[in-house]
Amino acid sequence: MVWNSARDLDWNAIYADQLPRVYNYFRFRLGRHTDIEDLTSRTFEKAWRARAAYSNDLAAFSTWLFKIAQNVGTDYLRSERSYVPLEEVPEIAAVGTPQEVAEHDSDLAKLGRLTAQLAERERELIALRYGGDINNRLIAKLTGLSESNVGVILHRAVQTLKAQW
Amino acid sequence: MNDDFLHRLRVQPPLEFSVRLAANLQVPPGATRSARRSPIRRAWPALVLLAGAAFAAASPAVRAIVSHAWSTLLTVYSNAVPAVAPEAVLAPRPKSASEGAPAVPAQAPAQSSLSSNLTSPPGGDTALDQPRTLPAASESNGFDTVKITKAPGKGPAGIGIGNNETLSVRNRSLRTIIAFAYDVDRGSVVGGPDWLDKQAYNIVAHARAAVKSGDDMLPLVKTLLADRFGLQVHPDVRQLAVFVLSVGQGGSRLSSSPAFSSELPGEHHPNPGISADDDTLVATHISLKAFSQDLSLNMGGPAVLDQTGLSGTYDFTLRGPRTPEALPAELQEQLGLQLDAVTAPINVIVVDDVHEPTLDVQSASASSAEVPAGAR
Repeated sequence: MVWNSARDLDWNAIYADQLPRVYNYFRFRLGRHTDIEDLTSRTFEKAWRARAAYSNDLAAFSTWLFKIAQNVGTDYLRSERSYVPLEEVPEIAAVGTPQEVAEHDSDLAKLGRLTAQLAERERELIALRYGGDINNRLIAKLTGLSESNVGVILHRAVQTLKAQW
Repeated sequence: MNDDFLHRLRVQPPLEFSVRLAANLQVPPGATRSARRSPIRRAWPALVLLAGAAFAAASPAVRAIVSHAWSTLLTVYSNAVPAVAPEAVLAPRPKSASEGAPAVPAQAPAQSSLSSNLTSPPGGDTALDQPRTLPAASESNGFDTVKITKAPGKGPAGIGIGNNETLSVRNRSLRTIIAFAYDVDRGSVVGGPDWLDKQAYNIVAHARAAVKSGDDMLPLVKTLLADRFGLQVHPDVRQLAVFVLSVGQGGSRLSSSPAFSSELPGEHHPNPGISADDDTLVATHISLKAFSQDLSLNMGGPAVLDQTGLSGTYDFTLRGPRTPEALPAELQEQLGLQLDAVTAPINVIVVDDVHEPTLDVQSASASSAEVPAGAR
């Protein structure tokens, strides 16, 4: 699908095509169910806000959208909240809820645990390739790596995950 | 490369979420997931006719079974998908809604990160161009008891959440409390009367049910602010003078907090926090995000944006006066961090309306100053 400029963007088609990609990118990136909708919303809203700045001499829309998603994800991971408690406030309980326990049993949580052992770059490539369902060429543009390097890193990462799955 | 196990992990976004986000983005309604099945949509009239013909040709027993199944399906569907007003579709669902916390009624949409990111695109032509004034929250039953009293403004201060069910605010200004509720720096809360900064409050509120995480408490805090302070806000983007905290050229001199293992008998989790007097700040198990917020408070308002990229928590001591003039050199020298003043477009929360609360300490009721949240 090709979009020429912001004015020509078919948001109907973009939304239907890209929403599952961005949504799954965040699922793979975080390896859990929580906050995925919020991050996906932020990504699309940023794209919407900046659509006037989009022009056809920039990268394909998909590249642009995923660059926003990457930044949103990075900001999120950097800023996961840490409260400064009061002296009087009791220590926060660390026991997981039944929901959390169930979540840990899911395949997604399993992926999250396994990818946590990978390098940051490998986690990102896995999320882009399998969550975002985008090809190595586009991943290369997004990450600044060469296409062949992307392929090699992905191959090794998948083999590592497969061996522990 | 055998990567089927990864492909299988992909899912479709929930339909409710797709519709809600589409409404926020003003995407034509056909863009939701159901619309992507265009071949089925095109074939729908033919399928209905075919099903009708098959039904007419079937035996009475088969027709009875099909009728019963159809009515059951309709009942299930109507129970699962209640009628919603258009504005309900526009209302972003709080994160906690799917995780056990009370849902926010649609007729009074809560401000969330979903809407806080909205700004007017240049030359835009949609309803998004007009910032909506949002009530701070709509859920009024989040807390069993709420106690609000005035505080002196000097002395120990902080905001915390205990056991995922108790909000405890000590000696903080309302602007700081709003910043906490909306997860922004204090300097990113703009507008409002002078007393927003001058009057400090103590608040103790017990949630009706424990929430899953600190984040899930925030919608309840917004509720409290709306109910007791009449707070109404809207998101905006402003050019503001802010500070950016980053790692200095020589690298960070911070040392990570020692690892903690709950498995070891007798080992206690150190209480994370920042204690400070005029010349010394001691941080224990503190993230750079929390440290930035503390710096912002100490400098009297300008937001301090954490752009260090450092995750985890740290133990450190910072000595010297924490003023805007002195801090940059102290941070660089003692912690290897850089503090720069810049002007940047910042997502802000604009206070549209607020009033002083009815204080529980002045309540004529009872020996206990705590009052039911819904009994004001």
